[in-house]
Amino acid sequence: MNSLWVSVSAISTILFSSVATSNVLPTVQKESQWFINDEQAIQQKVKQKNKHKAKNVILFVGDGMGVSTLTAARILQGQNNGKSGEEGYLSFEVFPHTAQVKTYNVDAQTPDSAGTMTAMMSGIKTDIGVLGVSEKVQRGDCSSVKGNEVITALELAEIKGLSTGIVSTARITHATPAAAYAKSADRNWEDISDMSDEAIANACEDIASQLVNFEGNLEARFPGVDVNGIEVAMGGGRRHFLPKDESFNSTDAASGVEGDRTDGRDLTAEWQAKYPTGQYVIDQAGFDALDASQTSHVLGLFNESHMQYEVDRHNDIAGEPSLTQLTSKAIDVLDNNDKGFMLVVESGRIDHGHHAGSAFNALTDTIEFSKAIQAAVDNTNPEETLILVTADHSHVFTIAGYPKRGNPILGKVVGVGESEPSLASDGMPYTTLGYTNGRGFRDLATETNADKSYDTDPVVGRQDLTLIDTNQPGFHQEAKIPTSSETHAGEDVALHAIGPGAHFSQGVIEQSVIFHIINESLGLMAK
Amino acid sequence: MNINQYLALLFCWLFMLNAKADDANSCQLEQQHVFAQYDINDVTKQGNKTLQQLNLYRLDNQVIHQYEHNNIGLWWTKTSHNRLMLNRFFDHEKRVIEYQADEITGSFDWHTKYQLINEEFLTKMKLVKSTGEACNTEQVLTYQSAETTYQLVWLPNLKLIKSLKVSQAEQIISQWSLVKYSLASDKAKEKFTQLLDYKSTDYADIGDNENDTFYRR
Repeated sequence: MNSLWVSVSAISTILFSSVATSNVLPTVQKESQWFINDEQAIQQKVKQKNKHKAKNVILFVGDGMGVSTLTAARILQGQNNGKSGEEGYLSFEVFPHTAQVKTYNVDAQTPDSAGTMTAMMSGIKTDIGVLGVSEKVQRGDCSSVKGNEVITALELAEIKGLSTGIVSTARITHATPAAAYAKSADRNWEDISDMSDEAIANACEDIASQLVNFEGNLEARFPGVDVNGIEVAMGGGRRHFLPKDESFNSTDAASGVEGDRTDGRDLTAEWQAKYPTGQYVIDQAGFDALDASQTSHVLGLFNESHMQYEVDRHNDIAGEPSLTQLTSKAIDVLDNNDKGFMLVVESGRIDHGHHAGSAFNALTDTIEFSKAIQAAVDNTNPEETLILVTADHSHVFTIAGYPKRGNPILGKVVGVGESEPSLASDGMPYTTLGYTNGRGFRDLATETNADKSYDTDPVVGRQDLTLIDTNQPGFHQEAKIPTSSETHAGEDVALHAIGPGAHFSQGVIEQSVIFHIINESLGLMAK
Repeated sequence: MNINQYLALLFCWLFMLNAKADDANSCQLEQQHVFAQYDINDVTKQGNKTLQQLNLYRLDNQVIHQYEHNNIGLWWTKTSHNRLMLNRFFDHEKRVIEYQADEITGSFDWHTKYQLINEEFLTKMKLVKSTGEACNTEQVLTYQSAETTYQLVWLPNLKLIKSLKVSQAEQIISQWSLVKYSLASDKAKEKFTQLLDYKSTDYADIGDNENDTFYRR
């Protein structure tokens, strides 16, 4: 009797409150498109059913993709499509679950990619500059590594029998991708020529070598375990895999001597010997020729250093695939395994665009990153694939002033109701986007490579932008403090999630929680 | 002159011609491995004088420009894809920063790096006289623009400036003098070999190495 009364009471309360609400709301409010859209968004959340267990996990990391980068990229994307921009979403911003992520390293308030990605991949925070090892390791001291190596989600996935993949537009030995597979007291030990005498004497292994020897190293660490190696590794960084000998130059070589290795090893040949059915590719043609359904392993090294910025890809010597193409191909190879897969995808050059002080390059690479994530959504089953999208850290990148709605995000501030740029108290116009520090102002016109700014000295402080088209690709925003490169920032970043286990992404979390979300969804430590 | 005498003369003439060509070819090879040192005297509009010493190193498709007083040197490479790649090196710290190769094939002025003077400008200059042979060939060249007079002594087979005087209103504003040079130079080879041992960093990675005191400057 009581329960029936409660039910009737509850229904009447809901009906009454609903009627009361709709009666209370003025027409101007309830018929507003904002109100209608947002109410629908809430209704969708009410209907959400959360599943805990995923078959596949894809972790997308936008290197340096802080919240201001998301906002500005979203606006630029919309404006490139002829809209105001503010009202739109990047592909992953419509994911149902989000969290706010604290990025600091154990010893650093503002972090770097090595410490942050180690946190995401291993579940523990560590020091700045070290990879796949705990905070007990002294950076640069090889002898401190032994016994402090951690195991990563990618390694656990491999042990569980899943297929594994790593994709990056940076060098594949760079901090973010390397934290998935390598243990190193220094993120810069990308090949043996980068290592100290102490590190070599104590038999620390360089990062490129660890990638090629991943299978054997993992089996050696866990006797009895039989794994079949990382199925997909694609990015830049060929220099760390080739001997310092011109005769090993590839057809894509930009330098006189492409390889950096001083031990004479050709790791691409070693990789091919380990995986005779695998495909080693270095350019767009080789990439396009890959038959994903028939490919067991892929090593793609598309540049001797980092891959090109997305808008600069057409300038590559031998041609490079886009991040969207890389992501789609990786999924096509990895999903050959019925047990599932784990894939890590990094957009590494968002970070580099910011470091160079170029909002244009950082934002256009963010938009490409968004497309890659959409490709992953389109090519996977939402019932069985957890997709996580986050950043490792932020940048000192701001959206400032009071520009009117739809004002070009790369342009000068034009106030609400105005048609001419607002002037600062120094009588000069200013841009909406800016950096706190870095190399500062550049007017490189149509140049689409942000890094062209590095061979001239910093120009900081106010500049007269009156006659400068700040919407051009080669414009670099003003900065206040001169530094050799624009720096990371210490504020939190966002985590967006969709798929089984996505609902674990909520609240304000330590970055190391991301490992536990992956672990919980894939059941990596179930056995 | 009988036929034998005629043939002997012809042979001698051909031999001399060939020897000259060999000398020139030898210069062409030797000038690819060069160390050259220049004194550069500049005078500002205010009349202040400065003296700088520039070292030029050449090794095949690589060139270094380094001022004596400066710790920083510029190291250029013409790559196999005919692109220009710049590295900056820092002798005190034994470090190199590598920049990305220019993206547009052949769009750079290699001659200005290699021989310190633009090839197109050289062809515009008027030849006043030519003396010497093979490696010792010297050309005196001049060029007069609306405001500036250029007087160049050029070593065409070595692709080296011997001297350059730039004047405006009869005042010398810049004077270059070749102090010394060596062909097929071990010094050039040593310099490039030395640079290969320096610790190198990609320009794009400077931002990720802020704890490195070298990059903070």
